[in-house]
Amino acid sequence: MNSTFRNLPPRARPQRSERPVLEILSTTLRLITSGDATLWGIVGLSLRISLTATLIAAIVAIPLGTALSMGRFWGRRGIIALSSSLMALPPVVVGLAIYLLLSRSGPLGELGLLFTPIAMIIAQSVLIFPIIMALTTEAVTPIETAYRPLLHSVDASRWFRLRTLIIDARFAIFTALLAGFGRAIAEVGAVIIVGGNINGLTRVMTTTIALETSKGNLELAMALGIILILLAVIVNVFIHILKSMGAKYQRVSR
Amino acid sequence: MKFLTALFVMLATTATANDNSITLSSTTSTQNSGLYDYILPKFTADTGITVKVIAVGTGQAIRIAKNGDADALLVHHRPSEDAFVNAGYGTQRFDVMYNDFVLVGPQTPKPDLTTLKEFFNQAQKTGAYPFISRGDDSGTHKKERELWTKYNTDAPSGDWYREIGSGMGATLNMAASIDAFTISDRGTWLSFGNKRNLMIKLSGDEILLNPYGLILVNPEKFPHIKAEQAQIFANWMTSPRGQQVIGDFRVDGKQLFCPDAEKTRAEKIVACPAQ
Amino acid sequence: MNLTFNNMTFTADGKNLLGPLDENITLNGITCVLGYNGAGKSLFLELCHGMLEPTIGAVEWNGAPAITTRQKRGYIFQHRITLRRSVRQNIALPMQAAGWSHADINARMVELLDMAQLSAKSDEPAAVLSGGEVQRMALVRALATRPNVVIMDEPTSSLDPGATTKFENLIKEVASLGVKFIWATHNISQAQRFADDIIFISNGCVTENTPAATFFAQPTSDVARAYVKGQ
Repeated sequence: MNSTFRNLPPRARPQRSERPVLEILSTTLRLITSGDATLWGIVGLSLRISLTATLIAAIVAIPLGTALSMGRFWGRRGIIALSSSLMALPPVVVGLAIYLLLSRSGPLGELGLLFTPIAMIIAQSVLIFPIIMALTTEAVTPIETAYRPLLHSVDASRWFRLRTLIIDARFAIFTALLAGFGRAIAEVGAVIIVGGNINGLTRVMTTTIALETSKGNLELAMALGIILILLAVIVNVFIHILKSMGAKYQRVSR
Repeated sequence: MKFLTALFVMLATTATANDNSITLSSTTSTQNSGLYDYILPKFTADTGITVKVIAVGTGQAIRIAKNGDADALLVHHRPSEDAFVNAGYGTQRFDVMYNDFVLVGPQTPKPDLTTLKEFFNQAQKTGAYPFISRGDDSGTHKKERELWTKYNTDAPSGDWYREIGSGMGATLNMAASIDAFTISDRGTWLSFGNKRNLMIKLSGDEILLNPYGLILVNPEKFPHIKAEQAQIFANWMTSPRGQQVIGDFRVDGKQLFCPDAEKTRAEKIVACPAQ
Repeated sequence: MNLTFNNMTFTADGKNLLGPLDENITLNGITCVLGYNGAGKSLFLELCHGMLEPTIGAVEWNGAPAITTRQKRGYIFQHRITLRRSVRQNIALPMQAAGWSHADINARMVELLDMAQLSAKSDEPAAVLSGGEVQRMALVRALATRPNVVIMDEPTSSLDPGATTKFENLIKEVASLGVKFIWATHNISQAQRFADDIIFISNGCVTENTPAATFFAQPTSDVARAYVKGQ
């Protein structure tokens, strides 16, 4: 089997499996326990890219999403329209648009960012920004409605109100981040175009799965898929632990 | 805000810092055969230059090179390659190697097919052989269309003929799952992991030959191109050393690519593919 | 403490809800605001505090517009509004909004918690406080930045008698420190016991603005008379 993972312990040439599920599960186990450097490199890169993208998207989306819940301001409608349109786009279209931007023939070609992890981070940030923003608005709105008279009575500045809302809505916002991260680490359309799926440089879990599928190594692709799911579950659990740690003050009476 | 901009610029420039590498735009079939995984480490060991391979469909590979996003282009469709150079995007085209296409189909007993003419003729007339076409304007797809028009007057059509607009892997996956015929390059076929009931039905005709061309992207059009290193790559690929390495590449003990640089052709002694 | 309504009218949805008002109100201690539901008491309080901007005219405190001087006053809402934080952090809110330093906030916090008898619960989530505790917290929160005036909108209407008494005692204590109150209440007994002055609002107008003694002895308008009689 011509695969990306050379250190996978050798086995007989894959026959048409009598029990494909068993085959997939055993491949998954072999992959995880083989300590294959290629695999963990790919896993590490996937995490680095998607976590960074989530962070970058969050820095813009959380304040914007909160501001949207706080009422009218210049450009509010434009931001909502832009965000809704972005959310409707398939990842491959977003990837294509960013490719055209970053290509040497494009406006930002001078930066030489195409086919690098940075390009992938940019693509994923753009992709998940609308989700994080929309979910933040949804998380903050009930709190904003409840706090508004109080904050108004103490003449809190706009900045103060923004900070107060974000801090008090932080747990629901964590969930928004999780949703964003989930979309980022699971997508393949955008990163494969702007990253180029270069071996050892821009190859992540999803693009490897696509590659192995195109080579017909279906059991391997599925095994990688399972590892990807496990990854997402681990991040999920981590966020939930974080949330439970600070839930004390989140109780709302009556 | 200033800090973020500075950070971004710093990251951006490190991404473009003069690392000793070139970007090669090529096709998925070449990549999936495993050739690059075999020959490129040897190239890097010999020259210290890393090759970053972008493997996409033929059309996209050429487009990427046209945009100046790659330093060199390695594809297998002569008319497109010539057009590329003639339009000024490439400085020079080198013959590198060739492999061949094969007709693959299900093992189930069918009337014995001995010639391509028989197959393509019968397929169109009777509609008895389900056929999957890549339909994506790739080199393989163009070769397939060439075969249909050579042995028929009309273009293929009917329920039995499915154009799926996908790469070789997806095409083979579909052919394998519904026991259909398709044209594949031998490299992808040999290393394909999901063959199921399929086997090579016909091969060997000269019309099925698939030559590869390496083109250096024109530095005058794109000043940032790593022209020197790309030239070193081209020299290596066509040198006796590079040609030997290409010829040494095996999948399941079978030779996939036949070295075909101009110099090699002149001194051709070794039969190819080795049996 | 001089509160002036300069030709003030407040309209919403084309309807005139309060005014026109031309009043000069001197706060002598505790001023109770009385009136039937829908007369415009809450509106009046919000305009006093500068939470709403008059449609015509202005509301001024010693010459300064109410809408820009909210941080100089405290306000207590009828329904409980607490941040999803601890008691301490709730009380700190006005000081933080006014830009006080951590040190100043912490120093002030001790006496505020003590006044409200909430020192033991300072790190509890505000959500677990009883109704009475919440309103005491709201009162010291309103006093946090040492305002001279606290405006209260029926703060005890949802409290049981025990909690009401505790709250009223706190009012007495604070009033004795010189803080003035504008206090809307339904509880005539409360008004009789606490008010120095009465403002009576009926149908969007201030019909009475008199010392309490005068008001309860001889309310001038029929409406007020009926109200005092409990009708």
